[in-house]
Amino acid sequence: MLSIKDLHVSIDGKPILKGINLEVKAGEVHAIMGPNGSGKSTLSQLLAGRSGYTVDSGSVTYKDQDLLELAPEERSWEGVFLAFQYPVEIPGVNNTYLLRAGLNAIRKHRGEAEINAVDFLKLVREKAKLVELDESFLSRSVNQGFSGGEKKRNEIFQMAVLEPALAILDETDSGLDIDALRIVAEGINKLRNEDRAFILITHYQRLLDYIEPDFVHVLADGQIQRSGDKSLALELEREGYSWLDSDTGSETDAA
Amino acid sequence: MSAALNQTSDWHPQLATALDTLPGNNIGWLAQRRDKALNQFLELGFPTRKTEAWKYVATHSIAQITPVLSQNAIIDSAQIAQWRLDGCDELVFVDGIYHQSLSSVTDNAGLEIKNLAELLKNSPDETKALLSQLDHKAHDAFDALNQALLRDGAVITIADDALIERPLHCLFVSTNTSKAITPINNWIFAGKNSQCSIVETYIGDDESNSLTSARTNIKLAANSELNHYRCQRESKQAYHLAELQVELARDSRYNAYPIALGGAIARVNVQITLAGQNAECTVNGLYLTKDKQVSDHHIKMHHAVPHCNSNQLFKGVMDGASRAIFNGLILVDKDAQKTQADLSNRNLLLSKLADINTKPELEIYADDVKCSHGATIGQLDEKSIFYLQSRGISREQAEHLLTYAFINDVVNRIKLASLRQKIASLIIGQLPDSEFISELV
Ligand SMILES: Nc1ncnc2c1ncn2[C@@H]1O[C@H](COP(=O)(O)OP(=O)(O)O)[C@@H](O)[C@H]1O
Ligand SMILES: [Mg+2]
Repeated sequence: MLSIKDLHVSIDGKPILKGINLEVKAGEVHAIMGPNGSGKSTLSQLLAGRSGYTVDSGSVTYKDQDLLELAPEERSWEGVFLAFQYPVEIPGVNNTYLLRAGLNAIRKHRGEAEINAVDFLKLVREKAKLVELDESFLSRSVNQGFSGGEKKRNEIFQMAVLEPALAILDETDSGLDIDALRIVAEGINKLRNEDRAFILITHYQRLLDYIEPDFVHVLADGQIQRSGDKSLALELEREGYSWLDSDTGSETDAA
Repeated sequence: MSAALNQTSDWHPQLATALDTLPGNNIGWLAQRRDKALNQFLELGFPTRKTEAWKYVATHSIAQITPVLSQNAIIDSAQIAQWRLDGCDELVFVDGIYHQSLSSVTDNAGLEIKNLAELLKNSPDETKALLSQLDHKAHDAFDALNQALLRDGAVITIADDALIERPLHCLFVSTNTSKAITPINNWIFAGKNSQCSIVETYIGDDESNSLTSARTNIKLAANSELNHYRCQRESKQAYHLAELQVELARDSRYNAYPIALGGAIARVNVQITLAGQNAECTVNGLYLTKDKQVSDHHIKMHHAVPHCNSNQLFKGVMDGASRAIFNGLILVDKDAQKTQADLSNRNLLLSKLADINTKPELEIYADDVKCSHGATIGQLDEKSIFYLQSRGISREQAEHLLTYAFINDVVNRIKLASLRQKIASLIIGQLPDSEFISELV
């Protein structure tokens, strides 16, 4: 589904991603862990189409297309979804109406008819329940005045409604108390299926107590330093990222 | 430009003739009052770019107006149907002249609604006394011109203790296409403990190109409350020069909503005086310009006594090669201790050629006050655009949506539902992707 090959990305001339390789197949859950500043958000935002990044070399292929050629909205229509690390507050734009517009744009792209108001309301209610998001949030402005945890739940709620093929979750678990984490994790688990792939970016091993990943990758200094199964996460939990310092240090020297 | 700048004296002969035709010019005090103002007009001369308050407005184009009065035009009720407001009493003025047949005023206990021309005709002496309650000295030539051409307008008196539930809508329609002058003078007296909502709407036919010179004087007695909406949507060829003067007695509450959408050059000059303790004033303003429009707001919030609050928000969106000017002064007198005053001016520039000059000012002579002021000029937030795109909204639609959301923040503060909806659909209708936006807000 997604194939990232030797991807080098810089921001204002400063290299951030320095040769990423990643293969994600339908149905898989990939966890990407790594210290602050290692490039996790850069990778996820780049995949969703944020401007301001320069791709110096490498490629990203998604469903046999050059993903980097698509506008952000086109990626969304094609099934890419990013749950933002910092969801944006948009006063004056209604949370539910935005979702309906987004969903209809996706359906239109697929050649499907617009969803009717009754079905949409049913869908939205059902998905809000999934992440235990109070219905009062549906009629509010996008993320405005939401607490940190409510914003994260709103992201998962949006994902549940839009039903993406590739969901990238950028630290959706950060800043959540244990109850909220459980709700979010269960929401994600319910959305797991053989057609859908997840990239879970996380800072904490804790999330993986609830969601069992197929692969764990460690991103540091713009490269995937190690890949493995979920035992790698446990190893990281025990030993932290300190072992990376020497590795990346020598790597920088060599470069 | 090579065209010589007009002098106010160039207008003298025609204005003198116009004055003679004004109703009530046989009444001594009135004729004197108009003459005095005419002389002021001649003495003051048109403001130029050297005049600080007019620094950014090219008045020479206004001076191209023909110094004659707009005449009584006949219009059909259907022509203004779309501008009527549900659930309101309505006074309709066409080119500055009251039209009873288009108006509808229910018997509203506690609300006395008159038009100036009729008052001057029927009870000149009482009118003189009434007007003298709220007099002022013209501060520039255009204001003097307005005074000299005193002709008609709404005179509204709210009785003490009257709680007026039905809002009053004063609808001013411009139809004149011969560059004439339309003077309008309104007075609003809010009695002690009274409450009322009044809407002034200034609209124009697409073809109208006159100069509307509109002054509204408002006096709030102790503990009264007035919601005052002022919506201006004149044609793109029209000039609109507005004066708003408000005086608040103790414990009174004045909520103003100046909304400026139309006009080639539209200027609103507001002077609010908090003259009694514990008076409170909120202003939620909005100006939208595009093409070559110029929109100018000058606001003076004068805290003259202690323990008053004022809170002002003005938002502007400028597109095309348009320009807006915002000048907001908070003046706090030496005795006005414990003043709380805020002023915020936020602007969105949608095009490279659009321009805003904003200058919020504080002039504070008291030492125990809480005042803040600030202005921002910005473009649309890239993070928000990207967020919307990532949810499937095209970039263009996201931009239009965010523009409306920025504006909507002010529109949503309009308490009168029928007006809020009207303004919202009017503004959305002017934006591209209007159908899409209206589904999302
Ligand atoms: N817009 C930006 N401009 C400049 N530097 C940036 C920008 N965004 C991210 N960076 C830099 O890129 C590196 C990776 O950041 P980020 O992808 O946010 O890391 P992570 O999500 O892993 O914490 C950091 O050094 C950060 O300072
Ligand atoms: Mg990050």
